[in-house]
Amino acid sequence: MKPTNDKPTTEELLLVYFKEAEQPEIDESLKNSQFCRELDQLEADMNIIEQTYIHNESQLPEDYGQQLWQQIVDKLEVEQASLPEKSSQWINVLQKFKNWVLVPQYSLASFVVVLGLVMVAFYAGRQQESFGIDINLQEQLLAQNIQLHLTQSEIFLTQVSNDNGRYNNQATAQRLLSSNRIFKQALARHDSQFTNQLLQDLEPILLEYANGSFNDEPSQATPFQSHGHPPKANWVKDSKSNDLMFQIKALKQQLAQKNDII
Amino acid sequence: MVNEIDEKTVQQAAQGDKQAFRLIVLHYAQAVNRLAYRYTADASYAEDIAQETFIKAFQAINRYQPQAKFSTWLLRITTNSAIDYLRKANRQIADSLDHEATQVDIPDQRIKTEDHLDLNQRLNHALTDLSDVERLAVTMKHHQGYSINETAKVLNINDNACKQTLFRAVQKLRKQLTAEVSL
Repeated sequence: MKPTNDKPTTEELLLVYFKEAEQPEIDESLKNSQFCRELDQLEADMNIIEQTYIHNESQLPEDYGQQLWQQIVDKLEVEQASLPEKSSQWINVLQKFKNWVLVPQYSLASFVVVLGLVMVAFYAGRQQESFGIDINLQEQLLAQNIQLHLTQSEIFLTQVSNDNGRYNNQATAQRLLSSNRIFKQALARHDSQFTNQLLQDLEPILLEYANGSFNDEPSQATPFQSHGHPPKANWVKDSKSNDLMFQIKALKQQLAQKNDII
Repeated sequence: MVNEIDEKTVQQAAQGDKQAFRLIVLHYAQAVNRLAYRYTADASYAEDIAQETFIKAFQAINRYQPQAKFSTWLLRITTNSAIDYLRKANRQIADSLDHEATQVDIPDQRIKTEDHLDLNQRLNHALTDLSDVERLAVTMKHHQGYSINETAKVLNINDNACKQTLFRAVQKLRKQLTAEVSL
């Protein structure tokens, strides 16, 4: 806005009248006497316009409020019926909590409360996650993992048997032993005697190889030797060991076909 | 300036007390209707908007924040209801509110043909002749004290378009006064 002695435009006047111009601009404009006269005129015009509005408005009846109430009361009843009472109570509780949170002296307490709620929600979420998986799905996953474990164990035992003890993979045996124990624990809650027994029988053999006992002298007998053969021997040819291998194959097949832990 | 109702009545209404809400209606009905009339220049529209305003207020009263004046909150609902009402009532207003439409300046022939009318009648005609957007802008700014920026946002137009709309509205109204003086 430039302070000149030219007649100010309506736009310039209105920006000042509505206090939408910057203060320095307003101050500068008001130094111009022409501008001040025009502004006074605008103000007078706006007052007349306002009076016209007021004149129109006074035509409402005195009991207009009561009339309006009569017109809307039925609609409000419908509205009230459609709002469940419970939800409005909850809204009130939340509203009170929100107002309480906004009070400065309670802000620290509010922060602690909110933090606590977040932690509870986080913990609850984790709990829900673990219980949220369908039980059937858990069973299937367990069955597939046991099947994989048995396949790996079968391959391992076949290799150690065919290599006549030359095959030396203690790390594999240790890993299989850990898996075997985990699956035994996982099956503790299941009524699966056959699988449990199989894992029970497999464990001492895996333990033998995991401990590296297959390199020991025959005098240092290990539990596996109760089968009648040292680990480095072709133990698969042993009848009990043959049974074990047969059981592994049978269970693998059962799991592959039915996903059913027996 | 609207006299405020006591806070206790508002609180009771917020808790579902219908009699308390009745007191609110009785207290603010005229103010709401008058504002609606300013926005629409039509008594039947104003009546509908007043009803709509109190129904909306009833639905939302438990969300009212006591930090603001109750009348400010209620008249804001009236403003929004008026804009919604005008949008529904007239596709043209919807278009002009949604887009920055160029406003056609209506030639002011009424001055010559209706010289006999008194000032109030002239101004009444001028108010009726304003476009809905112009009437909304001038009422929101002049009567309700919204800033140009707030008015522009509510009307969904940019600040410059809002200024131009406002200037045009005031010019149209002042023309009637000038005509009266020059008679």
